[in-house]
Amino acid sequence: MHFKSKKILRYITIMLSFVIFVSSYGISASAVVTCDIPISRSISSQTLGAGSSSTSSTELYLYPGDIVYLNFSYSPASLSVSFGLLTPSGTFRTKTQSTGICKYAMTINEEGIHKFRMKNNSSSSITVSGTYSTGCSYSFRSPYLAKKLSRGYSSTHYGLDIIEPTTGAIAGYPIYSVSNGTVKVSTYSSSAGYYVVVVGNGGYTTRYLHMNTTPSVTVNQSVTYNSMLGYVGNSGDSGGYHLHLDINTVGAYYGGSGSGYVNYDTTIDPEPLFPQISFT
Amino acid sequence: MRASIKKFVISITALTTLLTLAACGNSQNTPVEEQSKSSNSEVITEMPEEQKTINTEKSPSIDNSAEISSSLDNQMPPPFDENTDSGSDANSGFYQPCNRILDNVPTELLRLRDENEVNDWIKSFSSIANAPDSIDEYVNIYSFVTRFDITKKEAETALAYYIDSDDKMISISSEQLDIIFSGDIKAITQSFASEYSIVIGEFVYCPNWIYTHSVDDYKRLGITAEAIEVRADLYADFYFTDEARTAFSDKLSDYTGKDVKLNNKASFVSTKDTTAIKEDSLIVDDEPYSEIEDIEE
Repeated sequence: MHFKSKKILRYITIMLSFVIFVSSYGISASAVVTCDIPISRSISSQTLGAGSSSTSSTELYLYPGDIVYLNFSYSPASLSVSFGLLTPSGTFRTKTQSTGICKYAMTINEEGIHKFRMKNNSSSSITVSGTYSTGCSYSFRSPYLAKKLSRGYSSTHYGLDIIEPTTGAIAGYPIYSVSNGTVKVSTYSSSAGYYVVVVGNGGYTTRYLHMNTTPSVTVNQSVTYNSMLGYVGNSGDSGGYHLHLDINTVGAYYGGSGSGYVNYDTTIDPEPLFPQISFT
Repeated sequence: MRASIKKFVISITALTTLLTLAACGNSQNTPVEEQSKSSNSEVITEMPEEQKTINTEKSPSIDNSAEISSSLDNQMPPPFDENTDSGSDANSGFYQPCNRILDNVPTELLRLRDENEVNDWIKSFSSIANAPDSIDEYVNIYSFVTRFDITKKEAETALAYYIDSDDKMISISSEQLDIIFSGDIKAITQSFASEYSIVIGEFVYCPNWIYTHSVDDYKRLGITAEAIEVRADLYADFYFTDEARTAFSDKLSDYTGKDVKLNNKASFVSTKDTTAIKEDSLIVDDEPYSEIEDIEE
């Protein structure tokens, strides 16, 4: 009997330890900032003294391959300023400028918590304004060769319409996935034409509409941001050759109203994720 | 009207084909008098189940007189703002007669036949905005497998990932595939019609059809006030312009005799602020971190 009690006691101790371990792991895990939506932070007219540095209090949990976009301006423009990220290994990865502007996409190569940091390398104080943004556990690459928007994201259009900069049309141009992920839809519908839906590891769902012919990928196929999905076209309910790209964070595949569908309320503005694309 | 002409041409073609086959003593012809007057006749050739294809030939005796006299309601303004009505599938619920299962043709199926032939076939249909009222008048799985003589066995192999998939957004059941390959247009239409559409026999009337056709057509085709009334709440989902919303509300009110208000549940006047970026808080630090300068790629 005594032996049995000891056994039960040991069992309870092990169970308690396990529960405490799991709880503490849960607490520490939830303290880590892993984001499902892009994080953007702005800095408005921040003064940075001669030779000093400032680090953001915002923690970004990033993965190799993620991209952080730095978009800053400062004055006096001739001074040397370093913008970048404090990495998990304690290194300050920088992009140093002496032009008054820093527009740079920094590709992450370490997993873990990163913080934005900037350093004034000069002997005079400077004033900095701008933003940094990230796709977090998700990275985007601009659609190949497509650098001009014909229509942006708005309350009446929940994606980007992308065309070729010179001719205005991009019939037959290849479309590459802007992210890593898995193809969830590869199909034809009379509304969206030939189209592909990719769900990324970070929870983003990207859709590529109006391709010119049968997509190059099939359902459940893994893709990277180098994978070609198909070609730009004018299929379905479309008014001209273009790529319609939209991004939602709710895993929706099909257009329509309500929370399970792709619409204005379930999508994000993709434009900040692609600083390479513009209307000009 | 265009659809009616097309049906008439198809009927004539079918009749000519039947007469020709009969003259040649072809044993596969089906006597016209054996076919139902009230439905399109689908002739399933007697083959093993796995080799079965859908062989639909429109009966010359189809009663589509109501269709022939159908008319568009010219008083209705364009339903949507130009910006919301092209370049995406925002209004697919308004235009698509059936649900996502039937109205999306997976690439795995499309690849079973020559790409150019498939493309030409798809281009042969007019815009979905022209409000087709039958599943053989626009691109869907049924019209595809019928046109390209896809066997059920071929479809099952191609769609293996989709059949009873855990992903409910793309899943198709074996029973649903059976219905599609039954060739029974009425059964297919009733099984796959969108929640927004009204089904009468083998015809399906999507919201766009209801929007663009006259109340005289509603009456003639047997679209009841009750059927309209129960969908009014769903119609309110669409992103109509104010003018269109009012015009559609008035039209449906006149027909149902009730005060139908398509109150815009789905409005593009959203409070979502897509430009909001939080201000960052910075802490001055003078830690001597080692620095690595990024080299431009």
